[in-house]
Amino acid sequence: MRAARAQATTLLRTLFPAYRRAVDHRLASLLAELEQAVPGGAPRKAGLEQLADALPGLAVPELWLVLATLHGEMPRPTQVRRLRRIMELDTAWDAIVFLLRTLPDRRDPRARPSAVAISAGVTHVDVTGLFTDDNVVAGRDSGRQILREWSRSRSFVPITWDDEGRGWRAITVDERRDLGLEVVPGTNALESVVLVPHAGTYILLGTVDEPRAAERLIGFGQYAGQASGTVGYGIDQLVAPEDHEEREGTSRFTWYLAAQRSADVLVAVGDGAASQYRGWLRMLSAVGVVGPSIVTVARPEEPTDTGVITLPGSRNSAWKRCADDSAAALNLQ
Amino acid sequence: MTGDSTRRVVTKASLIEGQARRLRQAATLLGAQYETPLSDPIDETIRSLTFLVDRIYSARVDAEVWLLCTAMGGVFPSDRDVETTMAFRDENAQDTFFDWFIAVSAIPAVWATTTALEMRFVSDRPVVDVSSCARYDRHTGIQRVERETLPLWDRDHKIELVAWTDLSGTYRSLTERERARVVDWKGASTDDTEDDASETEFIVPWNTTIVLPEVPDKRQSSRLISIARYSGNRVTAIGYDVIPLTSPELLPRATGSDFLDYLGMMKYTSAVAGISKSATEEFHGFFEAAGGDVASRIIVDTCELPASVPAVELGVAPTERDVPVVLCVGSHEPRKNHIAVLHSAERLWREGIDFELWFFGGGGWGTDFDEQAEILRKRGRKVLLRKAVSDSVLWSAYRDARFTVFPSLHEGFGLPAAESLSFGTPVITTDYGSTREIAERGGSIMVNPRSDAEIHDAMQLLLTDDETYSRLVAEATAMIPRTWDEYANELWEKLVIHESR
Repeated sequence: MRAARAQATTLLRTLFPAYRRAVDHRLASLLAELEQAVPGGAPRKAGLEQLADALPGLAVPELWLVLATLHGEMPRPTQVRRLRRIMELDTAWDAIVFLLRTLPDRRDPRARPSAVAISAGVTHVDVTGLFTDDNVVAGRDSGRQILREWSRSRSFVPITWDDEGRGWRAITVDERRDLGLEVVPGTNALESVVLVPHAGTYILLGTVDEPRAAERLIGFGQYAGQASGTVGYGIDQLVAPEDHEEREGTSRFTWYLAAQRSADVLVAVGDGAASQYRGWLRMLSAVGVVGPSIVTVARPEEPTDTGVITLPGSRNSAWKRCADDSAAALNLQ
Repeated sequence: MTGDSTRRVVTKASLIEGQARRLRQAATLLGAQYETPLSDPIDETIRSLTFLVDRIYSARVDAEVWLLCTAMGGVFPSDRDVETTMAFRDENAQDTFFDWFIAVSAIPAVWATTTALEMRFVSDRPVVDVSSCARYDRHTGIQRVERETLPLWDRDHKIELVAWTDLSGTYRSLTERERARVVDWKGASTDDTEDDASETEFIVPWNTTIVLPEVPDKRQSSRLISIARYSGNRVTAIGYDVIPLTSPELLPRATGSDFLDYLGMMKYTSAVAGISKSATEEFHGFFEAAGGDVASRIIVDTCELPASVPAVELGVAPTERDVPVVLCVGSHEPRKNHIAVLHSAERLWREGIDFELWFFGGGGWGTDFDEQAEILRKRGRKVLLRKAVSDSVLWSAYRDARFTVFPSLHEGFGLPAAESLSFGTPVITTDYGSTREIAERGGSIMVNPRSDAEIHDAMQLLLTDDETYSRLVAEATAMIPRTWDEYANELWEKLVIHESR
């Protein structure tokens, strides 16, 4: 244990100054959160010492939180398993060595590690893929309509994946405008702050089909221990690939679907979509996964908006009903 | 100039002559009665084309449009080619169609280097597409199925083994060497010279069954859709799994697109024989998701793979070992879950249980298996890695191991589990999907492969509890394994006989 502890201290000391400062801040945020998450809390000690004390008492969702916060990005499933296995066989200091050794880009002097904010106890709605310049078109307009309706009366934090598909961030003012959401002056989110959801609810309303992000979302579903739901618009891209151009992300669509596997509830927009998802659930039996329970909401027959939506937007009763029914199924208050 | 590029340079004369011969063949097949070929190939083309265009305007049989496109173009048309041809026919007068068709149909044969080839129609036997198995020495799951089954079909029935031409334009017959790879497999060869494929003809299935025992690539899939929908042939297939669709994270990232095209093609087959109930359920799910009449039109049934004890001498007698051997078979990739086995083994070693852990399987990707295995070996753990082993070495290992551990996350069948049991060697395997079907017959312990604790506990039990171990050995030994003969017969019944009724 002593050797691992010395190794961890050395690893921390040899980080570039900017990285060291970022890790110090991340560690402080993490330990503050863990004090609330772990009954009794860990006693106040210097950074790594306190983490070493806390680690043995952590369940898998908290291990996921440790990885996400310290690394400033959502962990891949293999990383969570590796950390869990180290904790099972070795010491907390061995786990800390692993955590520090695998810090992203830690040897790159040009690395600008992001600030991290833990966002606890709230509902996050992932709107990736719903922006007007996104290539992903599956259900985009439906998702935008639902989002706009939800934003009028429900409480949630809209988030999206960063450009590299490594972590979530809050959406910016420009993105809020693009989605037709209300803009509160002086509240522009910083793109450089990585947002780590914890002990809350996650709803995937958009489409995450970039493999790097989708893989991390699969890990989130498996290990983060949060209530989750998703809205699905059908899987035409997979069952009728001949009708879709490659640019629409046909082959990447499998990643999006895999990311939806671990949701508790999937709201299918329209009977056709629901039927497709039921077929998909049959396929999942070979993966040993039950998959989400499927709730069907009626798909409005009226055409959806296309292009940029401006506030206050159209109030379409059919879409309002669709959004209300979806929210009820997802327990979004 | 290379040989390949030389072949693509064609003369106008060879194009016209090849086309004339093919059109004459097609016209004759559909009932034209010509005494002798005309001396001028252009005259011949016009005479035969006139007959064929008359036919597609009068009879309006989709298969005849497909045949016309094949003969004229010298390649199998895609479904869009056929649909465009039918749409133009439906919207235009015969003369207009005639001119348009000549203008749009001359190029494909040049592209596909099949310009001068004649057609050989196959109607009296099923056509079996073995492109990959015939061309390459790769010998994993799908190729093993083909190399066990097709020699039996070849022995008992008339079949036509075919491969796609180099540019996947048409089917061709196999070279001697390719044929040997399929029906007389003797292991990978060190000689990499290949015979030239036929330069005089390509094969056109006509009113028969095309069996797909392997997964075609993207270009082949688009032509197979056309064959299945329009040619009048029936296309049937072995259904292995839909892993790239449901578990993309368990495969290399470049895998997806071709497989989706393959699944898109499978919607137009008339029968699919799943290699396990689990695989069958996956295809049922896919066809259900596809909607329309797909699910009701395709017969999807299980024809479970066998795992019989090979009828060969294993050579070396079982070796008495100081410590038991735990065997793990498969490539080191995320889907096979070998890191979980290493972790569970390390726990057991730390608990003082002594055993050897053998990993037999070539290649791998996407895990730090090698690194972690090396760490354990440096600690003195008995981890043996064998990347490339012959069948006889593998079978000897099954025989000599105390048990096999196979906690795969997603399988179409799970051959290592079935093969282990066929040697009377118990297996620890996954508690869902196809491996569950195998394990439920006995001789096995089922575990949640995502639970390291369950894998550890099962390994501990089989290493330390002789009573349980003996019971499982007895169960495994008492099993009567399904044979390849039984599989081949049932597969013929499901994919060939049933379909031709």
